[in-house]
Amino acid sequence: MKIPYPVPVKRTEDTPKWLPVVTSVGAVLLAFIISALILAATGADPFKVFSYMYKASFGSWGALSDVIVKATPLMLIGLGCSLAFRMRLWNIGAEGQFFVGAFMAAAVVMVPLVDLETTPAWVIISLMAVLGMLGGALYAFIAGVLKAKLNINEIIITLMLNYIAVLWNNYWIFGKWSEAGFQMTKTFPKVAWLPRLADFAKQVPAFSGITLHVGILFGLISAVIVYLIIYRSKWGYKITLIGDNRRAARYAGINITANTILVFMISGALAGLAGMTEVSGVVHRLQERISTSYGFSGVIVAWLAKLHPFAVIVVSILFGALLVASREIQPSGISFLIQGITLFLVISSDVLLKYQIKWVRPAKESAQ
Amino acid sequence: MTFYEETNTVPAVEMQDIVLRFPGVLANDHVNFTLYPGEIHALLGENGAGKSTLMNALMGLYRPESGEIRIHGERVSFNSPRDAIAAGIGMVHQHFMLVENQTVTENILIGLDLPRFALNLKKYDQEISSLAEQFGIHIDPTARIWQLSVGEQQRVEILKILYRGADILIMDEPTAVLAPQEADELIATLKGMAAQGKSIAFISHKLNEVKQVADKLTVLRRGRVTAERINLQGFTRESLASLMVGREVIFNLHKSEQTAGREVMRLEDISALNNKNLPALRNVNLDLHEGEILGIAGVAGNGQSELVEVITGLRPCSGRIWLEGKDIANKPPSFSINQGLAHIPEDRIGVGSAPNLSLTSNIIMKRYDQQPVSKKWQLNYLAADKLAGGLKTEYDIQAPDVHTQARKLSGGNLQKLILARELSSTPRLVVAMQPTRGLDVGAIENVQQLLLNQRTQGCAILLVSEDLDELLSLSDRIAVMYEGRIVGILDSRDFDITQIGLMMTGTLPQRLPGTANPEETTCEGSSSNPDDILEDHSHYQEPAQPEPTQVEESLSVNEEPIQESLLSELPNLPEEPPLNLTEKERVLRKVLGEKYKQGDQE
Repeated sequence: MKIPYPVPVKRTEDTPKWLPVVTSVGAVLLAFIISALILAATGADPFKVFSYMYKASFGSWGALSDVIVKATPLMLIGLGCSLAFRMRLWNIGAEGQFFVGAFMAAAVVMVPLVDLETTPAWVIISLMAVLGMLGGALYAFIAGVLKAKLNINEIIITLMLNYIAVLWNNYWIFGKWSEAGFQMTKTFPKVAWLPRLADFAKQVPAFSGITLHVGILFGLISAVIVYLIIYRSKWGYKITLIGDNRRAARYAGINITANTILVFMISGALAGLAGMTEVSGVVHRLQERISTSYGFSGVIVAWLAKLHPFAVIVVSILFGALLVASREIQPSGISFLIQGITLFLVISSDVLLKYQIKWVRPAKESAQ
Repeated sequence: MTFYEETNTVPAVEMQDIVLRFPGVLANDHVNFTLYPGEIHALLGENGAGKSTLMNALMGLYRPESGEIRIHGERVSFNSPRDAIAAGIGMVHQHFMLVENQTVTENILIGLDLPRFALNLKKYDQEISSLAEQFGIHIDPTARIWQLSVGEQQRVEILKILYRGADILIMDEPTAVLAPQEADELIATLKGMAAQGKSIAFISHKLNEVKQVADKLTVLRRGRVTAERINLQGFTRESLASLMVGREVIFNLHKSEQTAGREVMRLEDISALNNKNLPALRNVNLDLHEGEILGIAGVAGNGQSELVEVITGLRPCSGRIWLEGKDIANKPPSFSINQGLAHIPEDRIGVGSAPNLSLTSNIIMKRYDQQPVSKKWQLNYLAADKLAGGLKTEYDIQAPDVHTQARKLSGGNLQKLILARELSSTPRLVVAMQPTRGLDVGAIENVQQLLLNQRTQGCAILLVSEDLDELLSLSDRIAVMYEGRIVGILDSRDFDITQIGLMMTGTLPQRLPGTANPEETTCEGSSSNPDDILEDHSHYQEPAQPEPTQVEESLSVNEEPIQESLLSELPNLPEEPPLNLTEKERVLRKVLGEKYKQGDQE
């Protein structure tokens, strides 16, 4: 029997608006199904595992707060990546920008840049946030300039810069800022902590032990700003135009060099801010393992959200839940397995947006 | 022309009731096509009429939904071009599929099972030489592809097919890329091959050349046959055109009589490099006035693209470009856009539009910064949609709405979109590169009339085109480019297609109507007979035969010192050691070929 020819896919001309949503949700569901099969194959009961994972992440206010805390850096990094990816700048360096942001924020306390005794907390925290963003932005600037001026592959550059940033941090936490020889700095004084709900336990007893900090507000505000940039501003139009056709943008008189550098820096600033929220809001010190590869998960978040800033919020919370659940189940790799399968399927599902599968009956003569 | 009588011969190709469908389009609607051995059968039709689709079906690239294909009387069903090639069918595509750095012979052998192991190139060189000779094709089998002109590359493609033993050749708009003389040569070659029994399907939308080359003609319109296997006698250009487009086409555009106004743009001593860092423009001087269309003629790759890029700020250069009193040379594109420069780029999809963005986004590409489309940092999409909607109606852009993606527009409508964007900004200078290439007759007329309207309104227009008919009917003056130089500028009353054709292939302007003072003539290489020059380039070396030329007179339009500088350019051309024809030609082609094959700039 002959294989039907031509190939049974056809390019679709019109993509209905609901289709991307359906394929994304479908891809996530399929990822869970495949993970369930793998779990079943290893002898576990997938339903038990999933219900346990659900309980671990959404089962209580405390768990939910943990999820949002984990989602905060993912959200900020995802937003930065969304902006850069819209211009087809593949910034894979969020991890490094995150670490430099964390380092700069820590420097405020560790150097110290201000008098920690007398300066009001809001000034210290603002300074940490601004320096965190600046650090991330400047770090991304390196890749941006190389890309814009010399057209050096930004994927390679940003990827390599990640290692440099991690090692740079290590230098400080192993050496100069080391706390009694441990690979971490001393705990920051309270004035350098982002306010948490737990801080208000005296007024509202229910908040006791809730670790949710104001970093999530940074994430939400950033999402709104990124939304306004992309969908409402002239600059967003330029970014979209450059992303769709660089040569057309150049022809239209848009300065591609400047915009490349600028977008890189904003993307880096958001990752830097994520680093700041992590040291100031969660661990309260600079240490080796402040990131569970947020920088890379953020890339996945941006893709899953199809680069839409509001979808980034939803997806980062979903990923935060997976991260929290991974602490509770053994082996903890299951969550990452689901993450990986999800990304794989979401990216593959794009094919369904561009092509229709349609079996074409072979022409008569081939049947003879 | 000898071809076998249809009655006692089995057709080489018989396609019956072919139906082929693409999403939303019926590309071939019960089409019949018959090709007899030894004949040239032209397929005429507008863009999108289904000519190429039909031939691609014959090549096994598409499989028809219904219908029958017979080759030499035997029913076939091809699953891939491989099957078609095995059945003796070969196709020369519009875009050549050749490996730049390999020789002619190597390119011809690519993909063949033989030789299996050791490659004795010399033996194959000889084989190919004799094959080429048999069909009267001039080619050096040891030349590398990048050294060849477009016309020669096409000959390699033809040889590739012949070497595979094809007796049915499909030529997909073969003359689109050729200079007039090269096209004539190709037509002679094809006729020779038909005389030796090869069957040729010739796809075209040019009426003139179809009349010249074809024995039989089939006309397609929107996927249907409107005339099947007609003889060409008794058909005028006009009647063929109406079969093709379904209405009478007016071939004469309305061009108002007007004199050029004050100077809008002047190029002073412009030189530039191409993407391979080789000189592409050499001391170009030009001027352009209000209400004037200056045509740039030349074979592709002689510096036209670079000239346009330099003017529009997309390529660095030396020299100065004055536009409305400001030097725009080496300024960013935004600077010249603000100076009133509109650019209709050659590459509509790659440069002129953002294919995945909406019609609105494409319309506001150059005015997203202006009221009412934007307010401070904001972009007002409602106002932008309104603007786009207005232009969509005014320029008759066929699309469902302003949110339609640009890539969904047909070629003609995409060009209308670009024209709407560029011309609605009331430009001072329009630089149009190949504005009608690949469009169908109706759209061509539309675009040309829009350009003429701009001229009436006093806009200066630089029109670069490889279509000489277009240049002749639209231009007030024509400058001919060869190897990065302006070899001559002709005034509309002196237009002569043979003369322009000769200049395009590097022959100096001479024997033009009108007389000038012989003393002024500085063309050392002038010969009295242009045909000689075409045949033998060594004429360049002959001592000057002072001969009245038209160059001065046509140049006298500009009272600028450009005259002298231009004339001093001319003698530089022939300063090369005498070579025999083929070697000389190869050197020329080498430069030509280099420039033609430019990579993408990014």
